[in-house]
Formats: sequence, structure tokens, C-alpha cells
Amino acid sequence: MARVAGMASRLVRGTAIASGIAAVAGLGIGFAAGEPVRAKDIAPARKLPADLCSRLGDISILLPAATTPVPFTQTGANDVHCQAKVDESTQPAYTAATVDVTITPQAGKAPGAGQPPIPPEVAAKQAFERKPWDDVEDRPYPTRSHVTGQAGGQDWLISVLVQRADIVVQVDYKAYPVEREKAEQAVLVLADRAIWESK
Amino acid sequence: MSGAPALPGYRLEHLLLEHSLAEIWRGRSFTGMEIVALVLSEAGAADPAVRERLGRASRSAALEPGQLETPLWAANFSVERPYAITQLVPGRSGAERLIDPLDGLLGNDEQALDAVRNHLSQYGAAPADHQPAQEPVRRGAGLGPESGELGLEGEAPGWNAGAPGRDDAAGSGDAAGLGDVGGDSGGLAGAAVGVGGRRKPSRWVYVGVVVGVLVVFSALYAVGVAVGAAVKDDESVAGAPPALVSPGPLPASVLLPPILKIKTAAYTPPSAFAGLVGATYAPKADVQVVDYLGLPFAFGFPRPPEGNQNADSESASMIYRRAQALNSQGQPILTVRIALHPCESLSKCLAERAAFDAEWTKAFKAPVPTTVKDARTWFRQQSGSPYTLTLSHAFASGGRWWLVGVAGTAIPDEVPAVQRVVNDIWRQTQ
Repeated sequence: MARVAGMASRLVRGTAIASGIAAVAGLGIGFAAGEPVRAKDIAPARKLPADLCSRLGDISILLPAATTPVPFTQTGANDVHCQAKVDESTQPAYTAATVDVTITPQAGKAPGAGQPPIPPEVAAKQAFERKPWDDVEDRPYPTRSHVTGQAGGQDWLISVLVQRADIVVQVDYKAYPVEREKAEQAVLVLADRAIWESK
Repeated sequence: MSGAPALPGYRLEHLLLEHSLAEIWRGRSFTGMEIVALVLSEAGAADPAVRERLGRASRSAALEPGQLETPLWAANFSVERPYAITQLVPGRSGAERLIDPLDGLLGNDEQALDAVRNHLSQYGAAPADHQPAQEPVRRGAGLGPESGELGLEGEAPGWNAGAPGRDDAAGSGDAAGLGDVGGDSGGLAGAAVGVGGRRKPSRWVYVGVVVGVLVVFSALYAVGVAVGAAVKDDESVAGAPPALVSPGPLPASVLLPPILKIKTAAYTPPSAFAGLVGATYAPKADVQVVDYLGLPFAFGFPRPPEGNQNADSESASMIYRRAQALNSQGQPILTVRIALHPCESLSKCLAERAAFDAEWTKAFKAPVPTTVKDARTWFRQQSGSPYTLTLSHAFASGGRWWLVGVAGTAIPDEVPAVQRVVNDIWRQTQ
């Protein structure tokens, strides 16, 4: 009888040790790995309107006068890209302009180890913060800008990046001759329109 | 038997079989692994044939292929009682391999030898209940020659199985206890060897244990997840987005009135000409005509211009252009930068010249031309490395007046070349 009890004791002791190891391992792995993330837990990107570029309004003021209206062409299925361009070769004067608006609805992202899924809003914020541009103060939305100028001070490439919720808008405006302040003002208005229309 | 032999590093616990020439013990190594030891008795140790057989059996166990499951662990043939030790594996005692070559000692009866093997295997599968302190029970059904089964050649003693059986447990075991070994059947061959003395837990018990451990793991995993979620920085929470703001209107005007394009005048080939300063192109010199920069004039360059043409730019009041020559390393050795400004009239040009010069020399980081050549021409040369020659000149072309500013820079070897280019621009804008 004592031998049977010894056997049982060994079994109980082994079970206790295994349970202890399982407890420590479970606690550690659970802490490190977190809740498992499935594909359906990651939010897809929002679908933007098919006529988003036309909703941005009349942008002819940003372009040199043309004999025929310059279309604001929309391309892209997920990211919407609007572009209008007037080459100097089509102009009787030394002037040209290109307007590019890229509206990106961010999708959620797979998280790092032990982290919950990254929602689109956070993904958009991360995408915005990755741009090493200068912050623009006194704006209703997080905004960064980058300016490149040519000799003469009236040939500029103005780029701004604006983020709100899951939407990141980048506007690039290259034009000459143009005053920098006016160009920056126009680009910010265009970015705000893109945010507004993609709400 | 006075007790278990002392083998360094091993503890012998159960006497499995006893013979006058040898004993088989079950025990443990110092690490706790179960082993089987065959230890010669004093009589066996005294017999050279027996010692030799043990040595041969041990070498065979150590060296023959296919012995990995129950390898020979240790052997010592030089002690008072030589021994060999193998690992005890359930279902294979290991000891039978030591016994195989000893069949000559046990007798050549294969059936009897098999009985011993079976007996030891079952011990390996279900360890017996011997204690070293207990004298193995010798039953009348020993393996001696009188039993007719396992007699040693010419000797009387028989192998005797230990009798660990417990009557109270034997009945509950699957195969009954060891207490009946040989007793009724007259030998090990007919023994009913059981494990009633030490019941093995059911496999369902082990399944239950595994399930329990998994449950513990799962429960603590969930706790870990909860703790991690509470402790870690949660990057998945985005703050409320800023309120939407209705966008304002675009500025009323953004682009400035541009400079109308002009037609480039035909290039006048080099001829006898007194330049501003320094060298000029010889008459009918072979030059590269630069007439594609959108300027009202063309000019001669000593070789096709190269390098970054993106330096060209325009404002509402100025056109900037550049032509340069590079060395084999891509470094500029001769650069001519040109600024062009439209004027309504000559008087306006002359009136605006100071501001014009200030603007383009600032853009080009060049010295302002101060030396008067004539009523519409100013120049300045600056020695050094690089050499710099600047020109400011008012001229008419295509019915419109212009101010042109030229900054030519060159390494010392290219000074005549840059002088020729600047002088040629002055000549083309006369």
C-alpha cells in the first residue's frame, strides 16, 4: 500500500511540477504574445468616392491659363491620385504648373509581437509622422510641409502632408512664377478640401 | 547473501536473480537512471573461464551494433567481483545481453535460457519488489539442474528468482504478482510473473494530467494576455480626430504674370572683334552654338555644354540659365550663368539696372559689375581661383529691351575660354 501511495505521490509531484512550468510559461507567453491577431481583426482601408478629385473644386487658379480646360485627372483604386499639369511647352510664356493630390485612406496594420491590431487611424498617424518634413503650426489638422525653391525666388515646389483620422493627404504643387506664400496658402486649402471631401 | 555489492557510482537495490557464479541486480546510477548489473560471485570470480566469458559478453554488448537501446554502461573485470552494468529499459532488461554469452554457464538449454530472458525482460518492464536488505527467496523451483531447466554445467546451484510478490496486491494486478514466480510451475519458464506489487497508473491518468497541465497553461496564458494588455503601452488607441473644418477658398490669384517667350536671334559667327577684356573667338572659329536656352540671343561655347540643366528657372521678372563644361571627374571647369530681365525701354533698363544687378549677382553669388565699358555695358573681372568675369548689359532684341547679366567662372586653365564666351555674349547683344 505504501508503494502505491509512493507511485501516486510521484505522479502528483510530477503533475505539480508540470503545472507550475505550464503556469509560468503560460503567463510569460501570454504576456509577451498577447491576444492572437487574425486577418479579420485588421480593418481594411476605406473606399473613397469615385469623383473625389472633381469634388475638390476648381483649381484652374493654380495653373497657367490654357486654351482648353485642364482636367483634374483621378487615378488609383485605393489611394486616389488627382493630377493637373500645364507644361511650359504649351505656353507662350515662361510659366508652368503641376498639381498633385494624393489621398490615402489607411488600412489597419498587423501589429508587432504581443500587440493588438493597429487601427487605420493609428496607421495614418504613423504614415504621417514618418515624413521628415517641417511641422506647420496653427492648423486644424496635423500638417507638415516641405519647400524647394529655384533661383529667382518664384519657382517653387511646395509639398504638404495633412492627416485626419484614417486619411492622409499629400499635395505637391510645382509652379512658376509664383510667390511662395500664395503657393503655400493654395496648397493648404487644397489639402483641407481633400480632407473635407473624404470624410 | 550478506547484501548488495558495492559498485562505485551505482546503488544496487533489488536482487533479481542469484546463482552460485553470479548475481543479477537492479539498481540506479548516481544520476538516478535504472540499471541492471551482473556481478560475479566469489566462486564465479575465481573461475577464469567465467571471468573470460563475462569480459567477452561485456565487450560484445559494448561493441556490437544495434545495442543503442540498452548500451553497456560500465564494466570492471579487475576487481574482486567483476561486474558489468547496462541500462534498464522497460521491456528490455539489458541483462539478457550479458547473459547470452553466459549460456555456457547457465547450460545450453535454449528453453531455459529463454525463460531467464523472459523473466528479466518482465522485470525490466515491471520492476520487481526486491530490497537489498532482503535475502532473495529461494524456492524449491529454482533453476538448478534438479529442476531440469537451467542447471550450470557440472554444478548444482540453480538460479533463483527473487520473490517480491505481495499477496494483497497480486490479485489486483493485471498479471498477478511476482510472489508466484516459479513456485507452482516448477521453474521460471512456467512462472506467472506479474506486477501486482507496483501498479502502473492507467494511461487515462496521464491523459488527465496532460489535459490538466494544458488547462493551467491556457488559464495562465489568458492571465498573461490580460496583464500585458493592462501594462503595455497601447498604440492601438487613437485619440479622437480633430473636428472637421470647412476649407476656405483658394487665393484669388496664385501665379504671377510670366515673361512672354521670345525668339532667339540667329547666331553671328565669330569675326574680328575687340572684346570687353581678354580673349575673343578668332574669326571663323569653330564653336558650339548655344541657341536652345530660350534666350533672345545665341552664343558660342568652346564645347557642348553639359551638367545639370535643372538650374534653369524663371520668375515673373527674370530668366535664369546656365551652361557649363566639366572635367573628367565631373567637376565644373567653366561655367557661364545668365540672367535676363525684360524692360519697357532703354531708359527703364538703365533705371532698373542697379536693382537687376543686385538681384542676379546675389542669386549667382558673383561680384557686381562696376567697370563702365559704355553707356549700356558694365563688367568686372576678379582674378583668383576660380576666375570670375561678370557683365551687365542692356540691349534690344525682337523689338523688346532687355537687361542681361552674365557671370562667367573658370579654373585658371580655362580663363581665356570663359573670356571668349562672355565677350561673345556681349557681341551677340550689340
